[in-house]
Amino acid sequence: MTQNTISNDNRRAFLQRLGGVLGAATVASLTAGTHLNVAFAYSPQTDSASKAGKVFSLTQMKILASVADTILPRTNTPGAFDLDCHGFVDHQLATCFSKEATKPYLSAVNLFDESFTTLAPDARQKALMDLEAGKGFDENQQNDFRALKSLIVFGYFTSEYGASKALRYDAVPGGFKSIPYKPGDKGWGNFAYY
Amino acid sequence: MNKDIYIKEDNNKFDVLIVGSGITGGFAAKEFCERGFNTLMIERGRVVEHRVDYPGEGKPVWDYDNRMKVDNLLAEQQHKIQKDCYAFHDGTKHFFGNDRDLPYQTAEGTDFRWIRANQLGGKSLLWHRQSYRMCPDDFLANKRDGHGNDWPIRYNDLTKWYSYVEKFVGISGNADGLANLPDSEFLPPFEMLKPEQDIKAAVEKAFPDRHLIMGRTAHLTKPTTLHMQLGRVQCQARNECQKGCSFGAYFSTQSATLPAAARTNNLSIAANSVVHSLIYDEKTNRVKGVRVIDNEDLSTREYFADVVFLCASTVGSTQILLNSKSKKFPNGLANSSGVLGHYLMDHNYNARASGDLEGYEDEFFKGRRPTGCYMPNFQSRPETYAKGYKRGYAYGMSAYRSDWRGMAGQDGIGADFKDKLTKPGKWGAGFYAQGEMLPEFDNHMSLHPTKKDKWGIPQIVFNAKYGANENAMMDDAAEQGVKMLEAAGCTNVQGSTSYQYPNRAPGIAIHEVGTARMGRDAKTSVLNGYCQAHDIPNLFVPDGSSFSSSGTVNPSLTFMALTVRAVDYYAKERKAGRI
Ligand SMILES: Cc1cc2nc3c(=O)[nH]c(=O)nc-3n(C[C@H](O)[C@H](O)[C@H](O)COP(=O)(O)OP(=O)(O)OC[C@H]3O[C@@H](n4cnc5c(N)ncnc54)[C@H](O)[C@@H]3O)c2cc1C
Repeated sequence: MTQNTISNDNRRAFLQRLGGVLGAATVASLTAGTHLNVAFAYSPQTDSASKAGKVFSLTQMKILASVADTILPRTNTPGAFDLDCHGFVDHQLATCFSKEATKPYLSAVNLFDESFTTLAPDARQKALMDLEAGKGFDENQQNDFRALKSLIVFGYFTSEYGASKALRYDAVPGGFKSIPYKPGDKGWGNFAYY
Repeated sequence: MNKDIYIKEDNNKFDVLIVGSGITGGFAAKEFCERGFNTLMIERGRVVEHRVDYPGEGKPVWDYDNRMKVDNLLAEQQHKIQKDCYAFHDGTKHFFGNDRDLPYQTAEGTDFRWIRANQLGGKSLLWHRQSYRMCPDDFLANKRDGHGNDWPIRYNDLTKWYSYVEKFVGISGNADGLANLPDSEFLPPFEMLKPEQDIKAAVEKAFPDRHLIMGRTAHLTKPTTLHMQLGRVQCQARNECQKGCSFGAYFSTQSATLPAAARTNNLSIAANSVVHSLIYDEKTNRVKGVRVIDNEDLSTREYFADVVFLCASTVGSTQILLNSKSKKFPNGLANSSGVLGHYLMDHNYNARASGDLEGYEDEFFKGRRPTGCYMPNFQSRPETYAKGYKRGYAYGMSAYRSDWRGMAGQDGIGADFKDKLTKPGKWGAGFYAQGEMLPEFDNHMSLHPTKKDKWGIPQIVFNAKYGANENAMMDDAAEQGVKMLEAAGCTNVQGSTSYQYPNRAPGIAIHEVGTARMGRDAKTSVLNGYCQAHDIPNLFVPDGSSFSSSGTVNPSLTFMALTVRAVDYYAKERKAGRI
C-alpha cells in the first residue's frame, strides 16, 4: 500500500505475532470444519409405525404412534397418526435434542407396553386421562408424559396441515388490528417464535 | 448493491475508516458519505445483501428441516452461547456469531453471555427494534447518586440528534408527553389491545406515578417519502423481522443506512476484514489506519485514513483498543486513564410477573404485532428510588391470547382436546422487567495473556456480574409486577426472578455499554462528550462503549444519536482545521 506509514519493524513484529498462529495449523484446516454432518431434514413418512426409528425401537414406535393417535385422533380432520407425528417426534428427538434431553420422552413411551396399541380407542383415551390425573402414576411420570404430549402437539400444529388448515395461516397480514372473535373461529397458525 | 462498492486490497487513503457495519457503523457511514467524505466501512464478517441473503424469510415452519428448531449438534458445537438468546432459531441462526470460532473466557465465579452478529449489518438485522430516548434524569443519575462519573453531556445535547435519526429510521409510537420518557418523532403507533387498555387504566389509577404506553419501535407503520426513496415500505405485521425483511419495514443497516450511504457513491466496503488493531503514530499522536486479517484466508492487509470511527459494538471496539498497544499506550490505545474495559454494564432482564385475565372472549386480533407495550422507569431520580437499592427499571408488557403452544401442556386427551387446540384460549398478561445496572470499576473485560482466537487476536476475559443492587431491584420488580397485575384484576398471578441462572448472566440482555466511558476528565474517562478519545483527537468511539451509565431504555437509538452528533462534530472541527 502506498500510504503505508508504519515502519517495517512494526510490520514485521505484527506479522511475526500472526505467524505464531499460522504456524500452528494450515490456513485450510483453520477455516475448514464449518461443515457438519447435519442430519437430514424431516419429511412426513407413511410407514413410521412399522419400522424402528432413530431413537425408538419398532415396538416403541408402534406405542408412540398409538399414543399420538389417542391424544389427537382422526375426526373430520386428520389425526396425529395421519400426519406422522410419531415419525416427527422420533426425528426431532434425534436431531434437536441432546441424549440427556430425550430421556423424559423415552420414559414416557416406556410407560406403556405393546398391549396399549391393541386397546379400543375409548380404553386408550381413558388410560391416558388416568395418567394425566395421576391415577396409578407418580408426578415424574406425569411430567414425562406431558413433555411427550407437547411435542406431539407441536408436531401436529407445525405440519403443513396443522399450521395452514387446522389453523388459519396468515403469511403476510398487511397490518395489525384487533378484530371481534366469534365462537368457532380458528386461531392463527403462524408465529414469530415457537 | 453495485458490486464495485466491495473492495479488498486498496492503495488509496480514505477520508474515514469506520470499523463495523451494525447500527452505529451504518449510521456513521451514511452521515460521512452524505457529507462528501470518501468512506471505507470495514466489517469482519461476510456480506449480507438486502433481500438476497435472508434464507429464513417467509419460509413456512413446516419447510424448515426441524420446524425452526436448530440441529442440536450444530447448536452445541458452534452456537453454545448464542443458543441462549431468545431470537436464536433455524430462521436466524446464520446471523448469530459462531462460538467455536470466537471463543472467550470468563473469570472464575462469573459468567457472561456475549451475543454477537458478525456480518454486514451486525446486530441491526437481529435487534428487536425497541426505540426509546433516554430521559433528562438518565444523564444526571451518576452525578446525583454518586455511582460512576458524571455524563459530560445532558439530554438537551442530544434532542436535535434524536429527532434527526428518528425521522430517518422511522419510529412508530404514541406521543405520551411523559417527563421520564421524552417523545420521539413518531409514525403512527401500533394498536393497544382492549385488555391492555383496561390494564393501563387500572394500573395508572392504582399507581399514579406509573404509565403504561404502546411500545415504540423502529417500524414503518406509515413510510414517508424519505423512507420510500430508499426502497422501504410499510410494515406488514409478520413479526418475522429477525429473519430479515425484504419490505425494509424495520430499520437495519441493510434496509436504511447502507442504501443511503451507497447512493452517494462515496462508500466502499471491506467485508471479511477482521480489524486486529489500530495503527498509531506516536510522533503525530494520530491513528493512521487499521491492521486487518482476512476473515477467510487469514492474510493481512492495512487501510488508512484521516480519522477512525470505531463502531464494532461495545465489546468489539474495546477489544480492538485493548489490542492496540504502543510505547505510549502499553495498556491499550487511548487508555491513559486506565478505565478502558472497565465499567462494563448490561441491562438486567431477570424479573417477570404474569397472570390470567378473565373475559374478553369476543376480543381477537389479526396480524402479528412486532412490539408490546412499555412502562418507563418510574424511579429515575433519587427521591423516587425504592427502598433497598438504587436506580430503577422499565417493563415490557403485553396481553396475549393463549394458543396451542400453551394449551398443549394442559390436561386433555382426544377429540375435544384436539378441537380446543385449534381455537384461541384464555387471555393472559405479563410484565417483564428491564433493569439498570450500576457502573462498577470491577465489572470489566480484559485480554487474555496467552489465549488467542484463530485470527491471532487475544481472547476477551469477561469479569462481570450482577451485584446486590441489581438483584434487589429484580426482586422488587417481580413483586411490583404482581401487584400491578392484581390491581388490574388478573388471577393466578405469579412473579419470579431469574438472575440466579447462569444463562441469564450479564450479556444476555444484549445491551452492553460503558467500557470506554465518556467524561469531562481525561484522567477518569476515555472519551469526551463527542465520543472522541481524550488522548487521540482523530479517534472516535460512538458505540455503546461511550456510555457513562446504562439507563433503563434500550440503548440503540441513543447510539445512533451519539454517532450522528460525533460525525457532525468531526466534520466541523476538520473544516475549521482543528483536527
Ligand atoms: C436479539 C436482539 C434483540 C435486540 N433488541 C434491541 C432493541 O429492541 N432495542 C435496542 O435498542 N437494542 C436491541 N438490541 C441491541 C442492538 O442490536 C445493539 O445495541 C446494536 O446493534 C449495537 O450497534 P453497534 O453498531 O454498536 O454494534 P453491532 O450492531 O453489533 O455491529 C458491530 C459490527 O462490528 C463488527 N465487528 C466487530 N468486531 C470487529 C473487528 N474486530 N473488525 C471488524 N469488524 C468488527 C461486527 O461484525 C458487527 O457487524 C438487540 C440485540 C439482539 C441481538
